[in-house]
Amino acid sequence: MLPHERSLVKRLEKEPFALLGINSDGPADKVRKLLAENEITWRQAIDGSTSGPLATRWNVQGWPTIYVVDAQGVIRYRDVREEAMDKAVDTLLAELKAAKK
Amino acid sequence: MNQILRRAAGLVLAGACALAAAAAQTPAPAPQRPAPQRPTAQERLDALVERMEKATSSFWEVEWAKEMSDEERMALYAKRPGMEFVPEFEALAVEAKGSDVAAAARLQAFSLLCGFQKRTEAGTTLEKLLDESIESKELEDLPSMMQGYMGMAGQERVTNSLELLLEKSPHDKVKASTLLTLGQILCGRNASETQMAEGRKYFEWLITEFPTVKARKGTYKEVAENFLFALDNLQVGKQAPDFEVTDENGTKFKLSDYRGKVVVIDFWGMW
Repeated sequence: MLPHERSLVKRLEKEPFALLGINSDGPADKVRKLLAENEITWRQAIDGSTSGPLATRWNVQGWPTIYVVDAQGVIRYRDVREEAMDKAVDTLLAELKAAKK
Repeated sequence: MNQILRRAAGLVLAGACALAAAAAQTPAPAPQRPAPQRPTAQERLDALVERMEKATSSFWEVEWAKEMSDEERMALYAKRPGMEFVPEFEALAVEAKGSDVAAAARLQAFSLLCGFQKRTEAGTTLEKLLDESIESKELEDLPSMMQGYMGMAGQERVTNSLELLLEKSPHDKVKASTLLTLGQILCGRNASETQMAEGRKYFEWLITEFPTVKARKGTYKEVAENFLFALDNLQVGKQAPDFEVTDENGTKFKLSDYRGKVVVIDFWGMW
């Protein structure tokens, strides 16, 4: 998971794209340490635990849970991983580019 | 012994002959030593659970944590502890038949059998549990265990049992937990529209009839509301509900700050 996400973030660093981690490991200092140790460069929301406020509100029942949202803020894919995540993101980026023309 | 001697000496000292005579007629009762008492069923259940937890945690924390090849790990997994406790829980359930202890013991057995994918034995244990203990207050966790059992037994079997439990249980906690699970099952992935509509009814029933029943965290009502929120909002094609969170550097941000970008939201953790 992490190696794939690292390469995705790297590949799309100049594109209108963001990977947001909603982290359930604990307080910010603990998470900062994990980020450094694992070369995680993308932004995190500190949700505190698996029963953190956002995980609870979004009714997350399993980890990881993934949503892919388009440039208008509409949920377009759920629980896509690895290649499927690449494909989903590339499709939405292409859509965005086409709309801008 | 010492005490007996001392008490005897006291008698003699206090001791008119009359007393001595009376003592001779009715021999002083032997000092009461607490007879070694057989532990109660509840105590034995607690001890058994503790023994099981010790065995499990030492396995996962010690054995499992060792370096090994994938094959060795498979072999080790096959030997994970748990099943050896099933007969003990079952024996306790038989002995304490009809009590809450029996229900709790059988629930443990059922949980183990589900964990070890023992379909037939789990089915038998569930039958006995529902036959003998359906009115026990110990069954609050049964519905969530049934979700694990569903993979082996199928949805219909599970929903039938849950509907029976809902009808027969006199306890609000059990009823609320059952309604929640019924809603979750019916609104699960790949549910048809009819099933979804039926599942919603269970959630709504729970919210209106049992609004204050406490769950592990918060109330069952809140859990049901979060499910409904997810059903209504967190679907492909729906506008993602906005949220405000704090990042690793203490800066607040919103999902809507990212409008104009493609965003992957990844709920994750390393634990």
